[in-house]
Amino acid sequence: MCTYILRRMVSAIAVMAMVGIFIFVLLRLAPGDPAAIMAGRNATAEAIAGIREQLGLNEPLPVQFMLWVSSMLHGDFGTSIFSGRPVFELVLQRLEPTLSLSLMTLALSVTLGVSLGVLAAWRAGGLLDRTLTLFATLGYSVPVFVVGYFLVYLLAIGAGWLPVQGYVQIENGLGGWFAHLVLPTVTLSLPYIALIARITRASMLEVLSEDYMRTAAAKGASAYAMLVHHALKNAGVPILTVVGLSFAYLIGGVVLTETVFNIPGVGRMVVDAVNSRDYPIIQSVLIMVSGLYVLINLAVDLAYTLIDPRIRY
Amino acid sequence: MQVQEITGDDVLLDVRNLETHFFSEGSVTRAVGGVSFQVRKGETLGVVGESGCGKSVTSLSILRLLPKLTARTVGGEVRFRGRDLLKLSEGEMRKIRGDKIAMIFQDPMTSLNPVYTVGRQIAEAVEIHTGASRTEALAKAEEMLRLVRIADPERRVKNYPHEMSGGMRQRAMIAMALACSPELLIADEPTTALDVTIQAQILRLIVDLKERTGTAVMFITHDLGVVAETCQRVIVMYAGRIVEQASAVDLFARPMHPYTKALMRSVPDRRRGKERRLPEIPGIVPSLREAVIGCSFAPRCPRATKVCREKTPVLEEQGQDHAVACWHAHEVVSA
Amino acid sequence: MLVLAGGGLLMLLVVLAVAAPLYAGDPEALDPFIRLQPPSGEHWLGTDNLGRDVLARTIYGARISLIVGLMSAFLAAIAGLTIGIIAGYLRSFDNLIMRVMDALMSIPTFLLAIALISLTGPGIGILIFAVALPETPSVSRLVRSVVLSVRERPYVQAAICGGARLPKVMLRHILPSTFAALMVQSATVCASAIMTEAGLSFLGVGVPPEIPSWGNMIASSRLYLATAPLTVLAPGVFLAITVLAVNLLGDGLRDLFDPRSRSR
Repeated sequence: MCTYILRRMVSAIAVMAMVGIFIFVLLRLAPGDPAAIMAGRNATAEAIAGIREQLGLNEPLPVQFMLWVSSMLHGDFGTSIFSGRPVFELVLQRLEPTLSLSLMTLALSVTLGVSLGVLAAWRAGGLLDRTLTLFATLGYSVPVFVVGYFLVYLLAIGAGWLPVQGYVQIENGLGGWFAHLVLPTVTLSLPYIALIARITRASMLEVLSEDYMRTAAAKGASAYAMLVHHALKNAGVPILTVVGLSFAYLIGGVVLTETVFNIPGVGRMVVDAVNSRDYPIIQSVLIMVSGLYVLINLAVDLAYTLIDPRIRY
Repeated sequence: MQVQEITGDDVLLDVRNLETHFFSEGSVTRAVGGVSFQVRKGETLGVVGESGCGKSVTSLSILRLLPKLTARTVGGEVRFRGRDLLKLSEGEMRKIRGDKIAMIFQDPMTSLNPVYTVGRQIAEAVEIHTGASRTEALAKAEEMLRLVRIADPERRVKNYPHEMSGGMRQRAMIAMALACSPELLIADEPTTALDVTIQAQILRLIVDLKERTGTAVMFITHDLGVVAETCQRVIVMYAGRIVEQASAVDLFARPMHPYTKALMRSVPDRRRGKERRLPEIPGIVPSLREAVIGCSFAPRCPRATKVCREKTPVLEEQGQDHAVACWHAHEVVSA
Repeated sequence: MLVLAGGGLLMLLVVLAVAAPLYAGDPEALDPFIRLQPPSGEHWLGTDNLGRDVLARTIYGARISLIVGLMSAFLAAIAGLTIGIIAGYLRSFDNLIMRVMDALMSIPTFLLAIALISLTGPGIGILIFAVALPETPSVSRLVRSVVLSVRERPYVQAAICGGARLPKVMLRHILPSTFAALMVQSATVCASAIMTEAGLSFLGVGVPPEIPSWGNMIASSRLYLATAPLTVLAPGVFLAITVLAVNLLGDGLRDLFDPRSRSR
């Protein structure tokens, strides 16, 4: 058990290091000079050289990399060119909307996706199952921003039930906060509901044909006990894996959704940074989110042991 | 009347003309084609036949545990203490399963849920049927583990299935099946997947527990040796039908069906532990998809004649509690 | 069935896109006097905020989506195939290569593409690269697993023992075996590439704004959603149909190559 946890953590650190090297190499080798981008279109050669010096871009690449890593380990994720404030601080300021959106999406997609997947597997081949399969294919074929504008047009502009865009902080009223999050959450959730429902169904179908399901039925267990207690827990590992892996895609969805609904979150900040050529923000958010992804998947790996007692290596 | 009906209070399970079909891609397989038999209170009935003869499907049909999409019991009655189980609602049926009729399956390695402790899985049956609390049910589970002679039950009750050996898991399965003191225990090849030495232990355990609890047992096996050791009465199945039915003593002394005789000549090698075809009988079990005309064993039968291929023999009483479905039954006996 | 539906739909879209100059109007023709018009006989889907024909622009938009989608899938397939075969064959490199692929998978696709394009500036070439790069690990993992299982098969072992050279063995035995899985995976990559391109263009970091792409169209028309909804919804519907066609094709191919998956 302890060895398993230790091994997972070591491998997570290794992946994290690899991610760092990868991002660094990729961004340094890409054509385009960060200094020139930051300096703006009409900058003089001296101005660009000054920024190069300031960013340490004249140092040899390995030195640059070590400097970059050591500053990150000290909690320094760079400074925004535009506002002159630490990127980490800016991210923290923008965190609430992004976190609200992500967590609500996660909650909605997992509950709905798992329930629908379980129901579809229970009545495999039935009407519900076929409807759901169709919905699932549609769900991950329609890009979030297209879904977003459709929903805005129908429910916000057309019916007027919900706000068109914007965000209200929690401290300014739970009702407003919630109302502004409904459409973005539904928009962002659709592909994940489809994804999770699909993997749940497949995983459940496999488990439902296992011998121990027949044993449970022979005991007189109810359909609910069979599906939820006996089958779902066994089907849990693949579902959890997909939830963890899909985090990478969730990030892209968050950026788009925040743009569609004009939510002042981290994703919106990245898009603004692209427009204002605030390069350190982009680079730092990229590495932070990648690190978060590795951590989430480490947590998923550790959660396996709670679900399946056989995982002990 | 061909077969003497056993009536009265001592009949626990009365199966009449049970027919179960499998459906796949437009074709229908008659896995069980009109089977009738009784299980009396406290007796052990052996159900023997090669794999694919319909013996497992028969037992799953009784408990209505067939895969919903592909199989359906299309006719007959399954009277348990006079009530037709096939007519019960799903909820009423659940009250029977695990409480009045319990079942043990072939492979203990796959028949226990890997993510719950063995104790909890035994306790579940107790909780469902007695309304006991989790703690009471777990105490009962421990008691049951002791009953099936698992050493150190206090500790084993907290074990997961993967922490137990195959034999121990099958004991746990038996503990689970007997936890609510069922009136009928259906044991579907309970020893087939186990090592030879373990097989004997498990067999003894079942016989022993049966004696102590008075539970009737329906023992499904391909192994006539097992039948000889455990059963009072035997039915022999072939291609979804009963071909012979007799007391165990009588069957071994006076087998009347050519198929039964062939089975006896080829009592499977216990050390191999696997069910196998009967190499001594030429031909294979017929596909149940085609409508059978005549006796379904005829293509493999050394004694088959014109009548065998044209008319299906029915089960006929041939003496005291001994029935057989064969046109040449008497020749077989005398041979 | 699915292959026919998806493939047919995709072929139709390709024909529509390729033949666009033959029948669709000029997607660039401006007419400030007919801004944001509702559908009419002349402009079937109305006009956008600069008076351009929405239908013509939508049809031309298919070109970008299809080019980026197909090219990215192709690039990712080639790269994934190469890396997967190397990893599956040269066991000493296997661990290193697969860890690098793990790392690449941990970087959020979309942010990586944004970062790359913000460095180089928008362009179709860099866009295809940025979209294909994050898709490469899944392809190479798949190819590697097929290679690993194929090289254990008796006929491949026999060929190796018989003195056949590695490249020959790969061409003869490995490539045909990976083909089916690669096709299915490529369809998935293609669908996701089309969505990523549209998303990046929508954010203004995809294809240059002067080229009519569905993402660009939605971005430039989003302020007029209430008054001229078709300017946003028309490219959106086309985008969804295109991705759906590719996904159906992928699902169909999977059923075709692996009939057991059909019930799943």
